[in-house]
Amino acid sequence: MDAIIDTPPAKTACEKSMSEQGQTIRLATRNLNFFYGRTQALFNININIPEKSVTALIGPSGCGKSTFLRCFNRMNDEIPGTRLQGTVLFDNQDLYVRGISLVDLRKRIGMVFQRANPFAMSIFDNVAYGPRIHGENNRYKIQEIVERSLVRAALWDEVKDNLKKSALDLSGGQQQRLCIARVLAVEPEVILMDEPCSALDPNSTFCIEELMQDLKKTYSIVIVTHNMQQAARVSDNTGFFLKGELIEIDKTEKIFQGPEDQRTEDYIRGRFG
Amino acid sequence: MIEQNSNQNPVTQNLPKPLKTAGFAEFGDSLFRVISTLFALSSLFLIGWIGVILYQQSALTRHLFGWSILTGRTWDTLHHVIGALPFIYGTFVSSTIALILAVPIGICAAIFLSELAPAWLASPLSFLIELLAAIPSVIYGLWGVLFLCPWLNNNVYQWLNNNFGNIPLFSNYGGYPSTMLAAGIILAIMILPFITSVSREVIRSVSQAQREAALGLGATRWEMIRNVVLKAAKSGITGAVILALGRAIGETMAVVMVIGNNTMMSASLLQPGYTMPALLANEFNEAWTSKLHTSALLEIAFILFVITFIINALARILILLTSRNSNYASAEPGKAAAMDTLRDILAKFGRWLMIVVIIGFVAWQIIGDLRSESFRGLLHPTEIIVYLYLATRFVTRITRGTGNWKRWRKINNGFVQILLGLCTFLACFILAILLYVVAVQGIQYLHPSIFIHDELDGGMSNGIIGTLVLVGIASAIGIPLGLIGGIYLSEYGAGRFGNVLRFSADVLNGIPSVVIGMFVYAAVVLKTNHFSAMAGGLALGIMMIPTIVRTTEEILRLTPYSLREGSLGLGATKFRTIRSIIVPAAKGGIVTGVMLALARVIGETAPLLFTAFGNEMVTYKLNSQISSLTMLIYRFAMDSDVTKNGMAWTGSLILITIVLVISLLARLFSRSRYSMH
Repeated sequence: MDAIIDTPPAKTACEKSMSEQGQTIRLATRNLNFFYGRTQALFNININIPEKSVTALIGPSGCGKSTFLRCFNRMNDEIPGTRLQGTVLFDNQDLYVRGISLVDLRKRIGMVFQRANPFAMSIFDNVAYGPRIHGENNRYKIQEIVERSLVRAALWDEVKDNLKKSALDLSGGQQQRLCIARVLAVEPEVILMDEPCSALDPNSTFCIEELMQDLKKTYSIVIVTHNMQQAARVSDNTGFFLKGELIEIDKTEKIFQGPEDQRTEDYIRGRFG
Repeated sequence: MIEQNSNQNPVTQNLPKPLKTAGFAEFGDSLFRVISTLFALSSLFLIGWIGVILYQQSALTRHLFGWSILTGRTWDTLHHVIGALPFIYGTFVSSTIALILAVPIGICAAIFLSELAPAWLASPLSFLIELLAAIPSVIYGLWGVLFLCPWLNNNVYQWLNNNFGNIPLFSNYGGYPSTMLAAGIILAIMILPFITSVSREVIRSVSQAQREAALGLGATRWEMIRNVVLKAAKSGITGAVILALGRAIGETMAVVMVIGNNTMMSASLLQPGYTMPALLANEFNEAWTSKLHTSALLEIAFILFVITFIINALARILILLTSRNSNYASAEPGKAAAMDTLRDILAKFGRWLMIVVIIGFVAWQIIGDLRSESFRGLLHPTEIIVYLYLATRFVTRITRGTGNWKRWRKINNGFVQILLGLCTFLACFILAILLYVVAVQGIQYLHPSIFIHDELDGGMSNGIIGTLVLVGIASAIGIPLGLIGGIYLSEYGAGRFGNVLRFSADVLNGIPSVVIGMFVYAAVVLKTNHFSAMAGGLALGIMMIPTIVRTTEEILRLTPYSLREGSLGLGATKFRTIRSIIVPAAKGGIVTGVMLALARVIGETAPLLFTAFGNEMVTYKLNSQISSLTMLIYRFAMDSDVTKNGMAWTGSLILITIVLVISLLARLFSRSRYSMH
């Protein structure tokens, strides 16, 4: 652990500004490289993700931003043939040391996926699934958690009368909000969002963006998106990925108004991607 | 540097919650993984065990006769002469006839059903053909011996002999109803539904865009099918044909009932013959008291095992390395290309061989006709077929490039479509006759008392109860091994090790039931010194494993990966994810797989002859000999008593009803929520 802390992180402008504000750093990576078999997907990435804010990762398709996001809850472990070098820190502790409990880790770092993936059960059971697997048996408590999570995910009013209905009968936007409620029910500390709105209509997107503004008061959120307007609307910090490299990360206004790197500028102006 | 900053760094001020280390939940996951690996290993283990046991137990004859068993033409166990060439020859000849008849018809029917037939016709017909693949072989045998053979004897054999008698294959007609040709035809009818349904799946998976591309260039329907669809589906269809060959080689009951069981080798297809599986089924009753005879039969079973192993392995490798959407981890492109070349060489070789054989036979026939009848001999069927063929070639030649070329293509297109339709209706017609005959004959003796009385009192209750007991034992063995093995392959079997296990399940699936029966006989019955329901159930259970493993895997893989991620992302263990999310989502399909496996083993006969042996009375004891419905049908069918024959039809009607009902139910269950999307 000491060795990790000793490693000097590459300081970026963003980091400087963060430490100036005295923000706590929740997630960080140091010299992160990632491989699918022989193909390298991520190159030497250093990043700090502050608490109680939204960090957006943008970049063209296939630039590795989703792969990068999935390093934080070790979801890539499930894909055979992948390999990771470097360090991923959560509250300054290495996530990739042997013998760590993935169950506990994923409970603390929740994830919302690109396509809404409700389970083939009722709305209630979907939200209750998390608390139940983590050992909550008390019926009343579960009911309370389900209601609280659905309210928080702005879905309660739409579904409160038919919680027994199959989750698969909900609309796409409702399904995605259900998935968010499902994550909230296990009370994570960080929420990772992997293009949560890419398959949704503008209305549902708006709904979820509103939700994020509310959630960031309590949670740290990392969102991957290829929608630049969305990044500009919702995030506090924005990182730009290109071909597996983190080109630049800074305050969102800075990135969108005067990025330091020419490639970021080109991407933001829509010259490619 | 962080350390220097740490005084201002709030992370260190309010200490972070430490990450937990792996505990009980993760231990459970590893445990499940280990257990499911063991279960999934069962196929591989069984294949090895079957080989070893059959090899060991046939040591006696191997030492006495060595390789001469493969070349000897005389089989006389009383005088210790063991030569299995007639059976090896018969096995290959009957299977070849089956392929020659079934492959063209089966593929034509598949093309018709997937490309030409309107939906209202295609779906009931393909449904019918799929159901017919589930009919037990003993019923085909019964139908063959009591209906098909006499019919062939009255209508077909003499005509073949008259018109094609110069070719040795159709010479020397001796008036027997049971012949090599009859066996070939029965086998063809049995593998036809298999070839059709597998080929149909393959053809349907060819992308619509390719069809449209061909039609868009102005190809006729038939040209589109031939140049685009069949080309893309070639590998899959080749694999299906080789698998069908494996089935034909190992088929026992239908063949033993119609082939005539004659140990003399004859070139004529109109003479009785013998096959290896038929020999096992037929001689086991006399053999099991004599050590030498038993060892000889076990050696035959070993030879059969080796042959079917090679055929199945070849077919699977062919399918595996060339198909793009199989569950096997993707093959390297170089290897796939090498296999493509190998397949093309094989196909070319096969085509040339066929052309040479056909030209040889036709020339032989024409020369014979000329000799016997001079120029009048040129008006026989063989010659007329040749004239027609040459005429079409001629028209193609002269119209190509002229104004009539388009018209000729249209004629071709129409003609081929009609031919494809006819093939489909022929297939359905034969199968409809089979069902009709079984129903009409079976209903004669259908009476409540046959369910109550046992064989001694003129009923069949001993068989019906025996089947239930045997299938019960088989389920207890096969279902857990198959299900958990299938879960392993779908959830953990992504790498090379998984491919090996998948491959071994596929190969085990192709090992003939008769070989599995002889294996259980050698491994259990010989060791415990008595036949038993346990041994019979074990044989059937082994047969269930690969079917359930593969269907379970297929179905689990249809459930979206995002479901697994969703559950794991919430911090569920892998085991919990499988149990609460994946398996419930695939429930319908899993039940279907289990029921199809059940339908398959309920109709099995051959392995039971060597393990459960039969019993004239009702018994529930797992340790004693037991009968089954299929064994009763076999014995009644081969009886000279006409009443017994009638009972065999009735037994078949009951069995067919059970099997068809299970298959129908399986279809209903197969609609799971996710596999529909």
